Amino acid sequence: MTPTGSGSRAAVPPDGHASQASPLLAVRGLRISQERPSGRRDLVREVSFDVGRGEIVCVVGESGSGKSLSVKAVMGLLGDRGSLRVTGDIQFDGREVLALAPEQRRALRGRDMAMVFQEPLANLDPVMRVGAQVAECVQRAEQRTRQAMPRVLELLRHVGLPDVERVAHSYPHQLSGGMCQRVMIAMALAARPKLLIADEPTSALDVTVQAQILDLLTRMKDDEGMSILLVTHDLSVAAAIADSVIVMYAGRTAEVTRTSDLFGHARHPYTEGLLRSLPQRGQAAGKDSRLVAIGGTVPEPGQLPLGCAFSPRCDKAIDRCSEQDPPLEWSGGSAVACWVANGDD
Amino acid sequence: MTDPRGRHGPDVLAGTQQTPVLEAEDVVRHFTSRTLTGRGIEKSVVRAVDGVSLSVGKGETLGIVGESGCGKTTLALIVLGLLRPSAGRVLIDGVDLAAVRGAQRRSLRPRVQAVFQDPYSSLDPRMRVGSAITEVVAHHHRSWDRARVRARTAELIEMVGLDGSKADAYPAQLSGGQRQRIGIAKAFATDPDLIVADEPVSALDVSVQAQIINLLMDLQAENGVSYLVIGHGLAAMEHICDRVGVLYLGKLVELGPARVVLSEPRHHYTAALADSAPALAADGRRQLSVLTGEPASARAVPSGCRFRTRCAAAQTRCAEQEPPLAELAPGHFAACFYPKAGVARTVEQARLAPNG
Repeated sequence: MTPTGSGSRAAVPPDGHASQASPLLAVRGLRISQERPSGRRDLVREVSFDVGRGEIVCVVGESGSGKSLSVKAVMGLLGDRGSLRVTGDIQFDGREVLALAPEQRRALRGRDMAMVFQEPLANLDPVMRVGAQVAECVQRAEQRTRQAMPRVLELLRHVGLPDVERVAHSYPHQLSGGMCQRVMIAMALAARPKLLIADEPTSALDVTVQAQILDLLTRMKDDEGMSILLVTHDLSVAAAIADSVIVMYAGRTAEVTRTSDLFGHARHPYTEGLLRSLPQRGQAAGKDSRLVAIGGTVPEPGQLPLGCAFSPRCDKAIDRCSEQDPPLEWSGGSAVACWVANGDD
Repeated sequence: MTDPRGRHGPDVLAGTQQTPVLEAEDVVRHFTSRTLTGRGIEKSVVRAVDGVSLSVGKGETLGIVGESGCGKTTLALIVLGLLRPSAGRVLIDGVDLAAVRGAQRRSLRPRVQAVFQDPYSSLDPRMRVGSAITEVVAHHHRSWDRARVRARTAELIEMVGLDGSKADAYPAQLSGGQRQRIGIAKAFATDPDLIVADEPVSALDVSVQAQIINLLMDLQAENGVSYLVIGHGLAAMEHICDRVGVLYLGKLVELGPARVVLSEPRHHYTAALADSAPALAADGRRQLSVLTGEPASARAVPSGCRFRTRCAAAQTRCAEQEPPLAELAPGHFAACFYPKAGVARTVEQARLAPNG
């Protein structure tokens, strides 16, 4: 299942890992490639992870790591048009998503899974009142065209908006970024989805408003058992709300870990390096100390080094790392793609 | 009330008695905006910066934190001389920016340089990055011959940790971190006394941010340059700044030693800001959301204390009077009638063991 190399241990996770029930979403060996005149280029290679029922899972990665593309593929937003080809295995609630006909996938979107994007203002219609936009979602979810307003107001109230009648009669530009993001979440919730995918939902927001939105997401998980797949570049956001964390690097899953194991038990050198390089609050070190930076830069897709993509920046790299790409090896609910961490020589 | 610029406290902390590199005295900048409404064109005044006083000592790093719309970028533009204040004075090395003209003003300009958030949009895409630096060096040192200008350019590129061959690259051929290094080399090309850095790392890849933070701090240790850093990442600000000022709706609500302000805040807004930032630690789980609502608009600043509309500790007095920026501990100022309890310590302790 891995393009290069083969691990001695299972490259495929055991069925039904940590939780007994099968996960709501299981992604295996996801690959997204771009056909170009000069040949095929892989933007995402070998992405695998699970999202359990009632769990918040964070996909953490830098720009170009393929995190947004991966969740868009799950949502079925990449489609078959254009130059992108999606292959691999996406099991959602017992169904193989990539094998579904376009109409079936459309039925899935917005009903069983819904998505919230980074820029709420760019994703709301600027010339339509907010209430009418939410109403469209409600009407589609309930398959009827009348009497949507009570449910619209209920949804707006549910996401913590004050003065919901006024909000419903406002245009997006009359609301703040945080309020617009709440409106987006309300729209996503209209059909009571099983999985909410949120792509950097707080990156455009101020930190005090970010805290409110993260709090809202946690409440939806706790109160309604919703599963949430959250994409972020900010490890501290993941640490604050996720049950498990998927670390992506240069188009692949580098590590999958429980959040509680992230600190102290991170296994991939990239994860470790990232955690070490971030300044910490309230430390005595401060100005007199240097941060432990990861050297080098993130490789461009199409210019990946041979072997493990992180090996040129890795201080633990051994010869094999620059020759063969390590497979993602699972043990229990966690996984790591690293020759050194997996003890292979 | 003690001097709100904090001349006594911070200067003692910075260990200097020299003229500050930057002094801002009661700087105000209002914008008039016209909005088309159903009732016609309505004029409103945006109080972007509404009376800010601060100073930056030699070799010191002062950080300004605050949410979007608090006026931090307007303040940076005023310090850079790119915007005129509506009122108040900005002194660079003791000289009032607005009071000088011509040659004197031109001589003041190179002493303050900027590092911008997005190095891609602040470099000319069709100019080799080496030429972009050469241009600044040649303009600053008119008497230098080409060989000397070229040598200085190479020195600057090496100083920011780049290979000399990168001088021939176009911005698009460099990574974000490399471009920001070029931006920093350009800023240092005029041997400035003060560099204003507006979110210098927030557009960069997370794994590269630490490299740039280290570079900025190394360059300061070598050159003794002062920084005015605008940012919102509290952990990074705590790491690089000597002192931090917290801006809310155009006014400083707290100012003091970075670690004290961010880990033992006295103003309720600073406390909320610090608690809202998710902590990167194993025990990071806690109630995140501590503030309800969002900042009031700079078009309609609340009476009295401008934070009172979101403050859990607000009393009636807060709506009636505006609390002054008062020195609550040596070098630590907060504008609050009912500040949070502080930890008693002397100036010496504050300098040596900010968390002890």
